[in-house]
This record gives sequence, structure tokens and C-alpha cells, in this order.
Amino acid sequence: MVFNTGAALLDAVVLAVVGKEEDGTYGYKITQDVRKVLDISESTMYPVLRRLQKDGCLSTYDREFGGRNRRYYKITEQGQAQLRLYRIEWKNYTEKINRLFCEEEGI
Amino acid sequence: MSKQEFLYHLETLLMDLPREEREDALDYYEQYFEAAGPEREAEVIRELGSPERVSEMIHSGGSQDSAGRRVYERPVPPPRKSRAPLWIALGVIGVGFVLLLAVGFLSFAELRTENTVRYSTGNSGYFETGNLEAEMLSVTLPDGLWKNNGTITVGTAAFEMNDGYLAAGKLKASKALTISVKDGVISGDRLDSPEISIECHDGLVRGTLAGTQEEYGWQASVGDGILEIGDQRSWNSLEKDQGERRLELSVNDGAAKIEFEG
Repeated sequence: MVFNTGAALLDAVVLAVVGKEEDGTYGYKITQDVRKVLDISESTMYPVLRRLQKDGCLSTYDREFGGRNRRYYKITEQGQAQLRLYRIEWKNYTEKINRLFCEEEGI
Repeated sequence: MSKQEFLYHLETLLMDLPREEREDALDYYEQYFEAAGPEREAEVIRELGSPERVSEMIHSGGSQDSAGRRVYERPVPPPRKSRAPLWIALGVIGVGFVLLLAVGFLSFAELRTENTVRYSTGNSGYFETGNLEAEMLSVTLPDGLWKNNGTITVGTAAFEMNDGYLAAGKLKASKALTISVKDGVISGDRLDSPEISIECHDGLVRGTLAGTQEEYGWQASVGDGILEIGDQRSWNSLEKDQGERRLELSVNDGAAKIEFEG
């Protein structure tokens, strides 16, 4: 991984990943899906999920799986609004950089 | 290191967090291991790094970028962490209703004579108990982990530990409760006794006592650290004469936080 993943980008990716599932999804799966996109360590995920939950962007519920409790995370309306903002920011951010890189290349 | 060791170790490192946060984090990682499956256990441990690393992540609020870093506020100074691995040198003599999660070789016996349950030094392992009733409970560990998962009802309970983690859980000692730890972590979810004496040389004490603050009188002192009893706070000592129940607490180097149920 060449570029560092900042807190905002990590939040955005997590919200996007969780947001894809209508009924939400669980910690392990979220981590695997995020890791397909970002090179982060497995120990990073919990604090991020916890913070997003505290900030009101994610909600949790428990569902039984294999006789045990499994906690699911779901995106809230606030989380969706936040994600929309992130998407717009990302578009601006990457457009400028893309333009710069392409200009340099003379493409 | 096994998954269970990892989680136990992590638990001790999170002792300075409020119980709800600590349990929330532990539930998460327990479920994480479950979802990964036993085949991936070693790999997950490798990826998580170490209990210390996970604890650090939880305490700092996560994020790899220092610019976006958030920090959870710590209610007490960092606990003294035991550097020694969590061995339990615990020999149990007597009736075996104890759940045993052992690492390495283990030979033990638990003896019950005249309604006394005694745990004392032996070989290595981790020990957890379920419900227990006796006239007297005596636990002596040099290093290790002793965890009460059920409800203990005794006349007197005496714990003596050198280096480790004592999770007393829900414990009622109708006569007296004595805990003495040299270097470690003591926790109690609900301690119910008219006479409680806790001595910790170097470590962390965290307990919730049955009843209300008004019911208790106390004499508490701390050498190098912080003392919190109910809504009272001090970097030296706390005293309260009035109270049918007595609490004596002495911490040399560390932190103590005592809360009341009511």
C-alpha cells in the first residue's frame, strides 16, 4: 500500500460496505469486505465501528447464529447522509488529482 | 497463544475501561474469532498482532492516520500491566465442579473438607468457576487467572495472589472478604460483605460493592496512583467513619475504583 488511509476515508469505506447490505452485516464480514478495498489490519476495524456507532452513523442489533449471539451493524439515515457527503468529497478530491496526473503525462 | 489466552489477556488490558465498553469489545473479538472459524484462529491472532496492540487500538479510538486520530478519554491512569504471561500456577484440591481451561501440563486436585474450598499453588492453567457455596473459600495463586463466572456465596473468602488477574465476579461473603494481590488486576462485579479488605501492591482494583455508599465506612490509601470510592476521589487517601459495612483499601502503585450498586 502506497497511500496512507486516513480516518475519513476509512469511515467512508466502512459506511459504504455496511450500507450495501439492506439488513446490515457483522464485524468479521465487514472486515473482510473492507480489506478487499483497503489494506488495513484486522485490529483497526472495531474502534472504527464503535466510533461510527457512537456518532450515530451505524446501529447494531443481535441475531442468533449457530446457537450464539452475533452482532450486526446497519447504516442509519445519518450514516447514509454522511456517506453521501463523503462520496461528493471523494469525487472532488480524486477529480483534481486525476486531472493533475493526466496533465503531467500529457494525456 | 490460543484464542482463549488472547481474549483473557486482552480482558486484563481493558480493565481501565468501564465494564460496558470492555465487554462490548471482548464480545466483538470473541464473535470475530467465531466467524473466522477454528482453522483461521492462528492466522487471526497473527493479523491482530497482539492483545497489547488491540488494546492500544481500542484505547486510542482507532485510525491509522495520526491526523484523524481520536482519543478515548481515560478515566484513570494506565494500569500497571503485568509483563509476565498469564500463568496460573494453581492447584485445585478437592471436588471438581471447576471448569478448566488449561494450557500446558496440568495436574490438580481440589479438596473440600468441612465445607472449605481451597485453591492453592500447583501447575499452570487458567481456571474458571461456576456457582459455588461454602463456609470458607481460600484462593492462593502465585501467578495466574482465577475467574468467577457464576455466583459465589460463602462465609469468609480470602484471596492471595502474586501476579495475575482475579475476577471475583458476583461474590457474597457473609462474614468477611480479604483480597491481597502483589502485582495484578482485581475486579469484582458485585462484592457483598460487611467487612472487605483489599490490598494491592502494584496494580489495578475495580469493583462494584453491594448496597449504597451510605452503608459503608472506609479507610483507603494509595501511594502512587488514584483512588476513587463512589463519588470521592483522591491521590492520597479517603476516610469515612460512618457506615455499618467496612471497607479497607490500600494500593501502593496503581489505581482503585470502587463503585456502589445502589
